[in-house]
Amino acid sequence: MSPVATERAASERGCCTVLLELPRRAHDRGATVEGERLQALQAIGRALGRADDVGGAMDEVVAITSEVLPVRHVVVTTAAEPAAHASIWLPADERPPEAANALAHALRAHRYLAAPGGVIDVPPLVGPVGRPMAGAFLALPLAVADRPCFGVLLVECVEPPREIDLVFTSALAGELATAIERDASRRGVDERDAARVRQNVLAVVCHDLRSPLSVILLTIASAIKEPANADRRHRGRRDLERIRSSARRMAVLVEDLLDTASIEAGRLALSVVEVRVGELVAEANDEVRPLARARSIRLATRVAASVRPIRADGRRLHQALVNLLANAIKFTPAGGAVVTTVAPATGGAVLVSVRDTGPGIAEADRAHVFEPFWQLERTAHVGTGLGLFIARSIVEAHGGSIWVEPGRSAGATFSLLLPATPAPTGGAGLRGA
Amino acid sequence: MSHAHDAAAHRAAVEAWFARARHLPDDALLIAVEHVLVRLWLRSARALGDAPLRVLFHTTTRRASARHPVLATVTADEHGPSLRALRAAPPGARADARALESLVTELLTVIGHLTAEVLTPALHEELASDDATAATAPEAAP
Repeated sequence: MSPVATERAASERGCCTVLLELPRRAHDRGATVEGERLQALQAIGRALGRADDVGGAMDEVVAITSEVLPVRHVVVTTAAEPAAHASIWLPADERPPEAANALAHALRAHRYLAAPGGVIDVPPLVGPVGRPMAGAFLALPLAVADRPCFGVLLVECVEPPREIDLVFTSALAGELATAIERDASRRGVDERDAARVRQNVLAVVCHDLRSPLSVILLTIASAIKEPANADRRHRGRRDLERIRSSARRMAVLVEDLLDTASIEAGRLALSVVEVRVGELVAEANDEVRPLARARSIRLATRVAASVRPIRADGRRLHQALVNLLANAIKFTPAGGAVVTTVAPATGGAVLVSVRDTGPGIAEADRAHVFEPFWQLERTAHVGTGLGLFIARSIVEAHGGSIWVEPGRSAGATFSLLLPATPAPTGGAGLRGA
Repeated sequence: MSHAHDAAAHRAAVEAWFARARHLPDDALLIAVEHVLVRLWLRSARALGDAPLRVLFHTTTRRASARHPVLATVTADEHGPSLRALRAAPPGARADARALESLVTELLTVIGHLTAEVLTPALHEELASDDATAATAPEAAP
């Protein structure tokens, strides 16, 4: 059974109709027993649980239903403001699509719908497409527990239904109602997450770009305003350094945002070559050394001699290591230390651990530290909150793993396990060299 | 069975029950009606389950209260229909027998209409077998 017609239309009531038309088939109704119906309901529950959404499972649901109930049509109408649409499936050789469209129109016209206030509109006493109802329609509300009705399951039976058919149909309505609510809830969570991320991006852009930009503008304004005397020339170099530093901060932020967008779109590409992790750690330490020096933090590295080279994207691993080190420095008080160790692991993998002497991370927060923007929400805006998320994404793109543990006495230890050869997951693309 | 016929059959079944309860005073009639509504609810719930039935009952009260606004206070919870608010109302503001008859008839109509009258024989049997005065008898005793 495949969709042969889809109709989308505005409706003053706002409804969504999924209409499925089944081929007639002989049913040995006497042979239908409770056990079969129970099994059918369980199979329907599994089908609804497997599918991404209810619409995607309806073909299977109706096929299972038709095994235990002699149905001609199954219609699900749900309130879905403000738009309305009707998707119609029917066997291609059974009826032309126009007939199915007419059926959908008739169903809407006869209002087998959930009405405002959580009640069902009881339609006129005529069936769709002018057919007399002949006592063959079961219209069950879609409602979960004591929450308001949000739709109707309408089943047209080939023969007048019995009470056992009603029991099954009511249970089917319950399964569909639960699945539809779950879909709606999932969509709501996705939309809320998307809105939260948008807000966080805006907050980061507004704050982290505005601050260095202000420095640049003020420095330039000051340079223009002041007379070009000897004193001005003396301060010129210092002003240029300030402008360069601010511009770098902006560039890093823009790179982080672009990387985040690539990661979330599954477009983080890796350029794989043979790399020595010990060397990457040394280079990363060199990059963050000015930051550590400014905060009087000691950097140390211990690389085991037995560590073998691995195949990885050196530039991306360097970025991940810098992010981990910068994070450790940021949360280590003056006079503390950040120690990085590199050790061999099973199967040629390499284990890198970055240990700091900061305040550590509360157990409840450990699950969130790798979430994008998390830090921004939980602290007084120390950084963008993207560094650890990017580090994790890079490590996972290599098929590795990253985790955080509390230190033995104080601080935190971030560890990452890198396989000998990348085993990418998700949307990471690999380019070998 | 046509729907016109069903509607007449529902009315006849309900009228027969109310004929047996005709002699009851207002308070006792409310208790008796609540009792028979609960019987109809329990019988319907065996096939429909509580959640769909609650929606159908809500639909019933919505439709019935369009003609008899006092019925808007009738509710249903997990135990079934409740006329508590009607019983607590001052005598002049209570539902009369005609309104209560309309409520029961509407319940049969809504359930019957939306379920292909599958339950109609069983629900009519519940009405026919209900002693309209039984629910009030213990309270009536001195």
